[in-house]
Amino acid sequence: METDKVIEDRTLIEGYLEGDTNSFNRLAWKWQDKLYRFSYRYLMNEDDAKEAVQMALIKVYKNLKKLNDPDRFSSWIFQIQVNICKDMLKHPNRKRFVSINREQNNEDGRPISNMERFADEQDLDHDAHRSNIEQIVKNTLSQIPEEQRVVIIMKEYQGLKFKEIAEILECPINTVKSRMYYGLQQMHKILTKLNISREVLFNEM
Amino acid sequence: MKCNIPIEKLMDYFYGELENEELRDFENHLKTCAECKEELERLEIPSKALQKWEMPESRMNVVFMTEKESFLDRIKQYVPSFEWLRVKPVMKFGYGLAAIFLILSVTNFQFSYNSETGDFTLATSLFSSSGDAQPVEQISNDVLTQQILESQNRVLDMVTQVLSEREQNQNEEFTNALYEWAKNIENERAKELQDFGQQVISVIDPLAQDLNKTKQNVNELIKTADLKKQQ
Ligand SMILES: [Zn+2]
Repeated sequence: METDKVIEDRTLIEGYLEGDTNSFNRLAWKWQDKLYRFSYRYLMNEDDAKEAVQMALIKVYKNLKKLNDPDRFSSWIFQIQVNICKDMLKHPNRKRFVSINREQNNEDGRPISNMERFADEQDLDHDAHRSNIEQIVKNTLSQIPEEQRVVIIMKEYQGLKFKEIAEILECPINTVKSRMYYGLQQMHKILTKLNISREVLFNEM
Repeated sequence: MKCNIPIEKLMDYFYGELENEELRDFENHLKTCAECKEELERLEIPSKALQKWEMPESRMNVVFMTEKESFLDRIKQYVPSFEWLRVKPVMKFGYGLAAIFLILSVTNFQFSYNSETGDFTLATSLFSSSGDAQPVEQISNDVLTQQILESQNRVLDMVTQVLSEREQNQNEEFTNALYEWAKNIENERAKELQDFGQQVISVIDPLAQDLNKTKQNVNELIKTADLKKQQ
């Protein structure tokens, strides 16, 4: 799973359990990018993704002492992240962390919704064609059932092995593979309807 | 599919998770099975499409600190006596603080403090906003380790600095709160003294009048007695 094992997770976990807070910070820094990438693909919003990662790391910080087997850490931390993201999608009106320097409110004072933010981003994007494809991909992916979408994100964007995904989601490996297959099938159907063909995708680079 | 290759096998091949014998067997099968070949080509479309969605460049960095002594804890030490004295402004101040996330931003990073749970987080960027300076593969592992440790130490230094500044702010707030509280007590005492004074006056006044009357009566009695003596 790891290519950037500068310091082993196990060493950092042990350091933290011996009372060194900075060992935990190093562990968090090793993982936050991976967690952020996953959360961003899943929640489709940068601020939400950052908040989700913060929440996951706080949970890890509080519960690390209860993790009996440090070798399970990588699937455990992902499990926590997946559950937090799922929760956030379920409760879109939850309390938010508010950041002073990035406050985003409408004229009437209510926070800007994801869709409004999407629209803004589109206006700002100079490469209209690329952003168009990107938008189609996001929309297509958001129509895929959640359990298939998680697998697609972990496989296509995180590059996890099917075995690793099965461990995170705690389900049989063949279930993971079939969710992946039906998810891609579903995406193919939608993309075909939208006239996104092989040619469009391969020539566009 | 009419072909009896299970979709799990197809997925394994598509994502390069078949090895050795299994891989050879499947490659042989592909040479003769148009159905599987076509299916794999179809799967390439969504897979390729997904790669068109780029990651934004923004990064995040969370720093955890265990606080030595929080402002709230110090307030809590005083809460019993505050309750006893029923000084409302200070209590309100304490409750207000307990319910909010304290978020301060300093140039490139921001931190948040949830005094309800005591969670303290700081977000900053280890990387320049323009993205990574060098691809990781081009740097040797030792150099990379050194660089990462150095930048981590820099962040930790920054955090310590911010925390001590925050501590100072808290001290100021705390002093202000105590001052306010003392002022309130003083005001209340002054008012009580005034009330007491008025009460004393209201008691003393009739008493003084009575005394005067008594005095007059006594004087008259003395006068009468004197007059009787002279007669
Ligand atoms: Zn076949």
